[in-house]
Amino acid sequence: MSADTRQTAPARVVWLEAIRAADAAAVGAKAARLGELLSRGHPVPPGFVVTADAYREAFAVLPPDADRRRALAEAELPEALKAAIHSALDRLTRDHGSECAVRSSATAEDLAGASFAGQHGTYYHVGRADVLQRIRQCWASLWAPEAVAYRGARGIDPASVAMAVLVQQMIPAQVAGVAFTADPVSGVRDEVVIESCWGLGAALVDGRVSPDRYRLARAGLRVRERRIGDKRLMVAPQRIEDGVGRLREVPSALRRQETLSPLLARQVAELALGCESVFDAPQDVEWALAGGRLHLLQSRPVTALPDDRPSPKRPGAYVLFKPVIENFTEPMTPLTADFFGMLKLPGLIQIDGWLYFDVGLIGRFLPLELSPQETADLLYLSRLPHTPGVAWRKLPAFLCALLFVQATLGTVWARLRPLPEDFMEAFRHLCDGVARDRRYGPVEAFRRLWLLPRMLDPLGRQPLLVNVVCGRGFVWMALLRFLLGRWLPGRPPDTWSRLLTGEPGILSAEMGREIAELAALARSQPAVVALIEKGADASGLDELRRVASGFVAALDAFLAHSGHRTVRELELAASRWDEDPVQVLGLLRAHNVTPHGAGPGMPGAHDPAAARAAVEAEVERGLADRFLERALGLRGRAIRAAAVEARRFLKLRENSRHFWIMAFRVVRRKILEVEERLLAEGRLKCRGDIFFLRWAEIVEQASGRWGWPEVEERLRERRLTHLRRSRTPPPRTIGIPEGDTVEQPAAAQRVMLRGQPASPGCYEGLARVVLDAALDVELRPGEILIAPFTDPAWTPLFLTAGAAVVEVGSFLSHAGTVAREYGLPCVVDVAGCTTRIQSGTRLRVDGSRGLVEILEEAPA
Amino acid sequence: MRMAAWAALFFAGGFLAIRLLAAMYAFLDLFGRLRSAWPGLLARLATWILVAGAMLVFAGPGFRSAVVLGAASLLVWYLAAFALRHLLVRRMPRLLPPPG
Repeated sequence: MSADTRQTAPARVVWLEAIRAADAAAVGAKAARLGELLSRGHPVPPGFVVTADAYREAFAVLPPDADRRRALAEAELPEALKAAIHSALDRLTRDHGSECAVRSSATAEDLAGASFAGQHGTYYHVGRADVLQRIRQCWASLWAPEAVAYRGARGIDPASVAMAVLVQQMIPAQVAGVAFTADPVSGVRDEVVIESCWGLGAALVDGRVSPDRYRLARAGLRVRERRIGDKRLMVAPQRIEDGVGRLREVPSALRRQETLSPLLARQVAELALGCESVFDAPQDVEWALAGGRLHLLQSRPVTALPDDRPSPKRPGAYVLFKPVIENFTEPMTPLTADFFGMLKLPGLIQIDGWLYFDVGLIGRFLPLELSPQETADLLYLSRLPHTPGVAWRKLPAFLCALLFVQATLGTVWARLRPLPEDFMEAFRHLCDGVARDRRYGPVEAFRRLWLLPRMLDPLGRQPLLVNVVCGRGFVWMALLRFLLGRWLPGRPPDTWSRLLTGEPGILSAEMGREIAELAALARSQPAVVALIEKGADASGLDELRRVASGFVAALDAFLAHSGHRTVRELELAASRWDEDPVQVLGLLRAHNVTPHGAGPGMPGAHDPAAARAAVEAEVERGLADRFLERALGLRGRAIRAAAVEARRFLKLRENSRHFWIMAFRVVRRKILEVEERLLAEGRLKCRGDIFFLRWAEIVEQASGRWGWPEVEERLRERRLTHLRRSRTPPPRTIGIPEGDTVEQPAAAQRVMLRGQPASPGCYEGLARVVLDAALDVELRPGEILIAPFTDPAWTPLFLTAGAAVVEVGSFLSHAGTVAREYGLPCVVDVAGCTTRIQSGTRLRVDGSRGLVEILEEAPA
Repeated sequence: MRMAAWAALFFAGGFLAIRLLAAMYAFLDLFGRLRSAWPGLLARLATWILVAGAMLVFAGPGFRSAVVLGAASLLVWYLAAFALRHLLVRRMPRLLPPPG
């Protein structure tokens, strides 16, 4: 330690400016690093350290059989030490406000392989009277069970660790977060990753919020990517004395607002890179922004980079279950996973919050000679690089499976035929009934509405079953392609998909048009436009009810039939549009910034039925020369029948989703009722935590056997795990060599991205990468929408775009279905398109062949 | 040949059972619209009953059992599936309703 004259007691209380990196054994790694950074001119808040020797002395006099944690928390400090701390406090609070932050700084912290992040005590807004107690609590936190287990798991000798305590100026952060100079998940080292939230950074470190995430290229610090999180909660920058905890709801208008401007993001990145240059290794930096100034709160080595991380060993081969993945940007919360896990469907497995197909099991029933990689290709991409041979030995199993399916679902197919278009409205009534009936808890409601319909239920009350049986549409699609290929080999290859467009009454497409109409109505009322542009919150909605009752009536009518939908609608933790109508106002914002009537999907801009009729006429003309076709027209009838059936099933499949999602709203409401009860009883402390518990744990809590202490630590761990898993997309396959599921010739990769055709047609234009439908409203008419996935919240953008390219999806996904109805070319399943393509890149999208050609890169 | 014919009629019996079940379910599925839909529903049910009767008559005594067995098997499977599906759903502990 440097011989600084401001040491107020021999090696027990030391000011930060006297500390260097080499002093870690005396002041702990955190304080040593901060001292070094302060000495190099970085904006570290001033403070002092109660050294590890003070801890050692307190520890040495503990009775041998004492509970160390409790004994340390109650230890009496020597008078000399107390005097030294008070003296240092006097100086700190005189110059830098009456409150300080008390933070642990263990001597084993921030080792290269173990960060100890969140393991030890940290206290904010500590007044002078509480400082000694908080110091003792920091000491005691070294012996918290989770910290002991963490050290044990990493082979760190408990006796070798001591705890210094850092007392610093309290920074009342308006925005705070972390910055990594290497991606902690992918290991990519040419970019800086920043996560930020409103208020103090504790909400982020505890995993309480979905932070905003920025990726900046290390060279030039240009923002490569920004994803704006739904920041529902924050730790307020000021001390709050209402006794209900420090977490606060973020005002609606701020929840989806980004926390960092590009300039601030660059400043944070510069700060992090400065720390890296001091320690010559990738750094994980905690920072805070207060009063327009950046403060550096911590810098430690990035731990658990991919090459350091143990790879999970799981026997078998799995591929992502696409019908679910295409609507999930994050893994399922534990409660949602628990509810999905109620269904023990062979072949379906949950891994780290994602749903996967068991390729091995499914491969046993497919009568084709396929390797696991090819089976995964078929299940995920619905395509194969070559025509496989027939596996005759698997034929009996396949025929048995067919018989089983026909015997089980045949009645449903037969029942579907005479039903009118709106037959599933019955499910809405059933949902209303179950929602009102207090005998149904969340589980019972889920079983009644989703898993176990009754034998005498009308089919309209079983939309999930309808969705499942609509898989038959694949057979009709395959037949249609086969017939066209056989009788009209010269026709363009997208003829079959053109014959599948123009089916009226697809609810998700109608919904998009209704949003466009709402936006048009909003545009006619300046008060509404002003509020939407400002970013309305709940109070703004109340104001709207007063000043624009006509618009609100239209909004209410929209919510009455589509209010159960939302972003990530299969996630129980996701609030629905009717719960939080401000989300819909966010969608309208996308329309208010674009001129009226733009885009091929806008009402009146494209007539898909007329386009299909033209293709049907061409097909008939093409068949006319065939033997006896003019007289009997058998081939034409066969093609028409296959197309009609395929369209019917495609439409039913998309529409049934509109209804079965209603079950999730009912179950969510019931869960929120339970949460309300647990909050009132003090068994839970924070809204939203219930989704990080498993159902059995909720029952334990509701029965009174468990309280808050039993769940506090597991909630924290699960939130952090969820946050970590959310940072990266899940592996497309497990147990199958990566890369084998994507066919992308290396030579073509530079200019051509390959995906699945989802809506036919070619389009050339400028790309606009949109990562968040509620935020990135800059999409201009005719631009090509580049999106990570789509769900109903994206529908309005389809009305404005000239074409769409989507990272995850399929022919039957929301993106494909809506794009076909709006008549814009769409390619789905284009791996990495949101990172490979920059906004402003000139593209040619070939929705018929599933190709995206990069014509001209975006200007730098 | 006889075996193949028997098997074909067995599966035809299963198919008939599916159609008859669906025709009966249609009254439930369209319960709210029975006022206008009942003639069509009755006609559908009558048609399938006639088809089933005709098949039984024309199958002859040697193959009648195949049709009946096929239909009965489907019916048994259909009913059993409603019981068996509970095996695919994991039981979850019950939440006691709030007091009062």
